[in-house]
Amino acid sequence: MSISQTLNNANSGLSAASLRANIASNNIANANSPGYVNREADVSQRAGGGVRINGVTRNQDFALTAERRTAEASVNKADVLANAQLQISRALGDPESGFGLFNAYQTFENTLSELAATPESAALQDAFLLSANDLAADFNTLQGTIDEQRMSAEIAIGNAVETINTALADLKEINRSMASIDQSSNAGAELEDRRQQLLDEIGRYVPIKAIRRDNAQVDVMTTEGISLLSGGVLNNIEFSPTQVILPTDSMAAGNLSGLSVNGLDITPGGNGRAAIQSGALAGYFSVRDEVAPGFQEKVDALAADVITRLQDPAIDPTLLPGDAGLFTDDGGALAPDTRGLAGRIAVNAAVDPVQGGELWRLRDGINAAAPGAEGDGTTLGNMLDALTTRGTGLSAAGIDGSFSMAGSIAEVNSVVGQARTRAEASVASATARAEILSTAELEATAVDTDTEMQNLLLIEQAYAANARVIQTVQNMMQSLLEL
Amino acid sequence: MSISSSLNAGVMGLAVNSSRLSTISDNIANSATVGYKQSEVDFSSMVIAQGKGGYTAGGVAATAYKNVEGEGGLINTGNSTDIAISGRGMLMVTDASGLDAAPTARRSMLLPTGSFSPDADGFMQTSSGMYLMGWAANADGTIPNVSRNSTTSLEPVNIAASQFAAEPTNAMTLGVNLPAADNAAGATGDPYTLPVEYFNALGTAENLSFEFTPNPGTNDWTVNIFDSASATPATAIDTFTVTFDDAGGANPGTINAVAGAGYADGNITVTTASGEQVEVFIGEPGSRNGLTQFDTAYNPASVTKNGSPISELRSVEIDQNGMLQGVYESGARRTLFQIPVADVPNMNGLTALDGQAYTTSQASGSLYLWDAGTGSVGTTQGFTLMESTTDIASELTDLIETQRAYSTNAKIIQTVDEMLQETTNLKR
Repeated sequence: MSISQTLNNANSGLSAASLRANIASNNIANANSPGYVNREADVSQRAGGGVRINGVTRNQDFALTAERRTAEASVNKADVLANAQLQISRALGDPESGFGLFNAYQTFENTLSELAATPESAALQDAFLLSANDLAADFNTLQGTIDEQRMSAEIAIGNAVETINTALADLKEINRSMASIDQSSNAGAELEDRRQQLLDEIGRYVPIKAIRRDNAQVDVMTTEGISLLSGGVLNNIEFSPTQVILPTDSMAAGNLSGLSVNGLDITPGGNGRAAIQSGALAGYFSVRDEVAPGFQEKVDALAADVITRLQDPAIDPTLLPGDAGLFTDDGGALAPDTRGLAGRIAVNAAVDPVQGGELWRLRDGINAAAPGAEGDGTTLGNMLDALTTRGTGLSAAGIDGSFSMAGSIAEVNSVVGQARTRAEASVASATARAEILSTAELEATAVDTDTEMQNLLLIEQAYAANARVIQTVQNMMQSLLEL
Repeated sequence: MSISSSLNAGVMGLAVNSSRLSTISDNIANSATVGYKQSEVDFSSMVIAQGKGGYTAGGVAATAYKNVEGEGGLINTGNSTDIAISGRGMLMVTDASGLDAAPTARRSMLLPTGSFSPDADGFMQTSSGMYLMGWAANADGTIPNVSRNSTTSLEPVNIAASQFAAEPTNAMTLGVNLPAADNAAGATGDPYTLPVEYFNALGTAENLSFEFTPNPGTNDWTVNIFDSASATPATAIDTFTVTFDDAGGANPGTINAVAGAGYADGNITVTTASGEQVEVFIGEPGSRNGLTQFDTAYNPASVTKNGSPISELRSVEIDQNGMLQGVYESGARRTLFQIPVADVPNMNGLTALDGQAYTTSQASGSLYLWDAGTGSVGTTQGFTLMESTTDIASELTDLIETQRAYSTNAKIIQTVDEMLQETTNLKR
């Protein structure tokens, strides 16, 4: 009996050593897998001799992970915003870059001043028309950028909501599976890894709190306290995406959807307590509802400014009040509602030969019936004056001060540039914080290959020692049988 | 006649040593039989009244017995219903004929260890045809009063009846901090909603939603409870108001008073749509255990509930106290049977049967059924079998010894024969 007990003890030692080797090999194999948490065998002395395998322990610091997740949510929000600001700023261009609205305007104004000096030159008239067309086209392109920014934010929101809801459903399933398996088993550790990955996935879009309950269950709520998953109760985030966004669309107008859970409004940027504060979703909503519409407002104000300056009857005697000037609001005079004007601004058809107009009207007045004196540059001079006079056209976009037309565009350029710099700075600071936490988390949870190699040596020794015991027992029996 | 007594003694020596050889061969043959108890032979000398000046050999007698008290080593297995007892005591089993028999007519046997698995009808059976017996638990998992010195309360363990189980929820604990900032004058007064899943008697999952609404400017929170099973889920099934102690109070941040029906000992009793009573623990006045109002985030840190949804039996496990528990897919555990540990005053007096089973005899004394781990008996161990108590090394040395003794006894017979031959040869 004692000899067979010896064999049993050695056997249990062998299986413990091979389990530890298995875990060590798994750790080493996954040393670079994201989301993998270092594991350890949990063994204890067995009553009656031998060693008992209790299970597998995952070395995770849940508090640290939660903090890292919150930090990453802020990085994601800042990232989305910075990216949108960058796109906008690129589309707008800047005075140094040689393209963009400012340059188009500069060319327009230069051609105008040249034409004012030599009003009889048909080539310059043509060049002036081209530059006016270019300016209008540039405004239209900006409108396209804005629409695209808003639309891609809308699509991103839709995708994010779908990802979150799928992940929540998976988490619910994991909760169910965790209840019915041995949580300290290898399979339990794998499920826990998967669960942490899903939580990370949700955490990228919405800052969440994962609350651990009895029986290895996890409840999920937003940091604002809105329950998304509670035991088996799943509360999906609701969002109804739209296929197209017009410049006039907004949540206030009721054309765009917010986010809600069980009828409770959690839209980022909302006033309620439940409004989501961080995460990529907050970033997308900010782009859709604040950043892009804010830029829209500025571009519209610029477009309105350039139309207003040139439709003043004082500069062109042929114009009556209410007539469209060189630039039109979709063919007519400036409409009171300037929202989306950047997309509607166009050159008056009366001066464009392609559209049945006459080039000489540039010189003689938009509504002139017949060509006037070839050398008369009065109207062109008035136009140039109107553009260089300081005006307060930007106050519609919330920018105080009076600027010439060129000054207005430069001012908008600088406002947009500043916003971009601020957004980039906030990405940098959020990233720095997230990096620190992420490093700390890695130190706690990641696989240390050196330690694993040391462990392997010890495991090898333990295995050999146990095998040696078995061999010794065999030798003992052999010597008995040889008597 | 001393010379013929020597012959007799020699013959008796041969006989006892051959029975010893039998026990050794039996022990070695069963050295890998789980639950096997080593057979041993006791030799005792016999004495015949001696006359003056002579000696008459009495010879030797052998008593074979099983050392049932001896305990084998425990080995781990992968089957949750491999049951062994770590310490003294045995399991109660019956044979196939006992399944349908009345308790008094049933044949009860004792088994040191067994690898049980359910048969087609759900009875826990070993491959040698022994059926595990235990005391059936009540629906709530408690064990009724049972007879401990007879087998009348025992019944064959059957898990087929417990294939599905649901446990209705009847208690919840709410450990939630409600942010004090939400009750500051001028706060928005938006409510917090905490859904908690519960299970009704059919095992259906429903949920109770606790809606905590602050009353800015006061320390009161109105709690509305909604039941998803209700015909009008949007109508609260219960409402109460919790007033917390202010910063200057005796126990700042804890419950000061609860205004609502049925608040006692920290519990609110809620009657669900299906008529079940659920005791919801919200905390006692002055205690931080339960609802609190501190100036930190809303945090439902400890929300627990009992009960489990309807789910299928996944495995059967035995704990140290002999409770045979069904483990369900939902993670719920339910005690199905208690497996008692049987003990008799003289274990070695038990009568051995086939299949490592024993039955009580006159010599063993009467049976007593203990709870595992109490009194004289050991604890029950799942995933474990008890090895044979045979020690090969000692059996082999015994074998050598027996062989030596046998041949020496034979030598005695040979010598006596030669001596008698001498005597016979005196007369020519």
